[in-house]
Amino acid sequence: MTYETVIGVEVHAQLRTKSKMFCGCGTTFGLSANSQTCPVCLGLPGSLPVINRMAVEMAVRAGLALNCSIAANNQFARKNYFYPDLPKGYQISQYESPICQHGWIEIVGAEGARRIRIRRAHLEEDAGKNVHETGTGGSRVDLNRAGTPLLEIVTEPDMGSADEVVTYLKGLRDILMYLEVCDGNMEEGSFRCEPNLSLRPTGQKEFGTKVELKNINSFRYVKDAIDYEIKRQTRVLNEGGKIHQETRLWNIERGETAVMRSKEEAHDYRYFPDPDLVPLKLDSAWIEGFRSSLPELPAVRTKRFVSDYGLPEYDATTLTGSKGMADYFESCVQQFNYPKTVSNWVMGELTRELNNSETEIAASPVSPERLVSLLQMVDEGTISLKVARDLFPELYRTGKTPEQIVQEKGLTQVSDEGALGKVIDEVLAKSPAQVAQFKDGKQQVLGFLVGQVMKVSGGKANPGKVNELLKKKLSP
Amino acid sequence: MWINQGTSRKASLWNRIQLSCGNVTMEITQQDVEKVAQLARLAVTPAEKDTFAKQLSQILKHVDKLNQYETTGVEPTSTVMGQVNVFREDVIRPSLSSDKALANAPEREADGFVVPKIVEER
Amino acid sequence: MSLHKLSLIELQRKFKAGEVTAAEIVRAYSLRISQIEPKVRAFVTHTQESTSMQAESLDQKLKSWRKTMPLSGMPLAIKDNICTDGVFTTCSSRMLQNFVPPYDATVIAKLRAQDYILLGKTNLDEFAMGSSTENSAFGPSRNPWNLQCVPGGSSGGSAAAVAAEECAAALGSDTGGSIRQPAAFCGVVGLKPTYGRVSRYGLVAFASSLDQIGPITRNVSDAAFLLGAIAGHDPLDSTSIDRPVPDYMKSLQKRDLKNLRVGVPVEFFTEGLDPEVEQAVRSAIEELRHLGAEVKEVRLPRTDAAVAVYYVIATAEASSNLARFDGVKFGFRAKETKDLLELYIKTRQEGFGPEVKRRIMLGTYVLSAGYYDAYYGKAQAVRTLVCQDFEAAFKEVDLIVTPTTPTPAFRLGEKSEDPLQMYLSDVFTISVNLAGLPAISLPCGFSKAGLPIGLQLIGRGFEEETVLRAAHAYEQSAQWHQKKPTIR
Repeated sequence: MTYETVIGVEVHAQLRTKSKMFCGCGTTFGLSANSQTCPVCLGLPGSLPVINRMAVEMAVRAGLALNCSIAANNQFARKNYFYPDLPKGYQISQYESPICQHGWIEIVGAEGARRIRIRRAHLEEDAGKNVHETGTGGSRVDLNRAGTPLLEIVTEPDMGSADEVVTYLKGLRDILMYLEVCDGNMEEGSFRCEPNLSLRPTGQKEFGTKVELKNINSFRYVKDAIDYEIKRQTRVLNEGGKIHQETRLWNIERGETAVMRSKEEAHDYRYFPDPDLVPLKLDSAWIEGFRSSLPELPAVRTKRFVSDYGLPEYDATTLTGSKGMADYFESCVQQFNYPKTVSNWVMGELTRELNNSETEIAASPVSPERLVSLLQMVDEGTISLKVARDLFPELYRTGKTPEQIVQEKGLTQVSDEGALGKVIDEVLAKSPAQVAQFKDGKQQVLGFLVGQVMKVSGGKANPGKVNELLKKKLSP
Repeated sequence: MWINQGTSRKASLWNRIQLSCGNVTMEITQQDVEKVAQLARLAVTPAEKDTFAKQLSQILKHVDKLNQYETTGVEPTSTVMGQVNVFREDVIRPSLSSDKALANAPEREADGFVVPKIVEER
Repeated sequence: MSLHKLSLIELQRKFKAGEVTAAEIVRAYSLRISQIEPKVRAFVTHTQESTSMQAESLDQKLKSWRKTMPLSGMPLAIKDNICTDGVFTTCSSRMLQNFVPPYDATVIAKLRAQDYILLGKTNLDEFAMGSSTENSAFGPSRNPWNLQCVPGGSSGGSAAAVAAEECAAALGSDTGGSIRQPAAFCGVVGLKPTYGRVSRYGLVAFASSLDQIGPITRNVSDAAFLLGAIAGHDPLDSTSIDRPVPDYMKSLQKRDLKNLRVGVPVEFFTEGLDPEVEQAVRSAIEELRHLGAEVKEVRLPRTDAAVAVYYVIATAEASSNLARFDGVKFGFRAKETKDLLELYIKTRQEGFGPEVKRRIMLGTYVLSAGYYDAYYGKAQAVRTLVCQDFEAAFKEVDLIVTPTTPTPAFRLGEKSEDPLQMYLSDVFTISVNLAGLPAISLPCGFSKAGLPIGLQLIGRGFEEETVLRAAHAYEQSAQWHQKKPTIR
């Protein structure tokens, strides 16, 4: 029997606010345990939550970018359950009225572009962390993360393969990072995904039994875990077994999923409106204000880079992979309208230096203006391309202008016929064999001779001019 | 004059309340009590199970009088003064020191609250 | 005259004028407490030691620059469900027996900023759940008028301490009558402000949509004075309301009640009402008429739903509010538990008393799958109807007057066996919390047995001034507040 896979995904994206969802504690990752807590996020008796305005704004921006409708009336609800990392015994979340609903994003897969529908996205607070080893055989609770704002984004069961899920997740993550509402760091848990997956005989309408996958912290594991799970479920079904509705954890070492131990207790979260928080009524003009200030999203920008700048698909995708890089590129092109040249430099030299120094492009010591003036010097023949490439690391390190460096090092290109003629004569005298070959009709040696001239001139000779002069001197 | 009228109208608030708590008809079974206790992380002894079942039944019987009121189309009240949109700005304020945060901990190790080893997950 | 006999405002005048030092005030009250407290047991925690030092340093400070604030040096008692930084806050529960908050409630921060003196934390029904203080894990407080009677609850400790002159004034909290009912039982003044008028930040939550902190005092002026000190918007409480705080003392200046329309709801005068209470309240209403008020009948037809609405909403919210008491981060933890589930269950089983458990059970039940709409959803809708009743009545009148309680204080142990009867005795105070309105209870007479009877005045939202003005006019004319208990 053949089966069809049906996958939906739940993503918890940590919003990049400075402070927590309901209190003024910071949201820094990796601090010493329980040093980023206060009465509110510790759940101390008497403390009360107050909504972080920025978290709501970020959720609205994300919702708009995901083509969702934004709820005019929002109410926070309490989700009640006991767990050591949940300090109040309930999580403040949204239940009946999620802030974002009925959206979609477009993904481009093997069969072309299609939409993945987003059922809902709602605001909630994160839990703390349980560390499972202590000296006394217990578990330790760290509440630094408790209360960090999350946007939980839930799709419809619209995906059919691991590749589609990864494409969706990458697209979603790009959008959130583009909007600067999430840092997208999967290892630190800022972007957590939980696919749920079921199989059904091909052609059947009803869904099969759903299994939830957790503990997946990279795109690779998303793919591995889903592929594993499809194989496992297919095998179980083919052997006449039944799939149980359960949550399974991805085990990285073993490369397999395993049932998460859980109590045989039906969850009853007893949601009810949180009486400590008043309703949010979002004005449509306010929402539209955010819509008009949304940045152009990566997929749209990629298409525009291809159509407007004539860039290859690869360049366009790479450049729009981060908003900073795309902005940088466009800023250069505005001043120096050779898109492919700029693209090569941004993706090549600049990216290399940024990676080496682990610097964000927004903080690049070489501004778009500096890069443009370097490229203009090449374009005008003041320096050669080779010189430009060679001096780029220095430009990056020192913060000097390209003009300064060129002048200090005397790197100005030599185009003067007299000066070049002397060097050419020198090279020709040293290369009688090649000269003879050329005269025999072997045109290729010209390249060798140009190279020699460039070498002797220390790279400063204008290669076009050298070419021209060489031909003249060698012609009968 | 209202005083006289008041006496004749001695209505019934008390009566109506009293009436509704006479016989127990809204059954809360001992199994219900067990289930609720489990959700609320409370233990109930067999004796308590019985008492709670009776008392909760009696109270809920009284609560059933709410059905006398037609509420179709009535907005529920969850915040009584009707405020909306109360925010704080996204500004960091000092946290407690971890020592202060942990000062009331029944058991701690280093900078963490300690609980028995967690085996089951949510 | 002993300092403990002075009202808050009288004492404040003396202190401001430099006629008495903070140290003298503390000594006078320490003496008074040591004499009275063994009988009344109003306090859970005494803070005399730190108080003496606090008083001395305040006196030192004022020596160099005598600028006092309204509550400087004023000896107050605080209900023990209001968080005090560095001072035990137990909620009269075993669960929090050793809990020391690392922060001040907003009302405490306000008082502290004025250099008030904290005499101690007062007893209450565990987590404010009850009407007698009999649900305190540390034993009941006594009614100063008759030590065999309850002081009421849940702010019974605060009301008893004020009545017994163990403090100049006190703070209580009121979720369904917990300030007004004990004030009525103890013959003192208790004011529940409009929901949102006083910050709830740092008040250990019982039912968040109903809780409100307010003053318990010896007379109406003191209540106005203390309310002015604690009221105001608090950015830490989303339900606190951003409106200017009026000068409540000013509202007391007008002594007649001309142009004031007072409504008497027929639904409150029913068979369950004790005849002595009815008699006293009706006389008080006559007095209001003499003072110039226009008295008329109003209807609050949905009053008899209030108890049911209240016990669904309050217990539902409480079941969730009390989930944080799980033995992990603070408070009591049961010993020798084999795993996490047992830790939770044993901790909560041993840490909570029977009434708290009963309410958690009820609240959990009404929120659980399949019952939400029938109970919680329905109760919220009927709550709207209760609010609408008041809105309609307040179109016709400016103030509603009722008895505070159906009976005077009952005897210890008299009702504690029957939870529903206990709940029903809150019938006159509960609807006020459901509608979020301000209401005061003040003495309006005594039963033949010598127990105080309370008069309740209910105002429109944020019209504490009207409530205080009428209460003050009545008090000054009736003079019941001059009568003091003989404690024996």
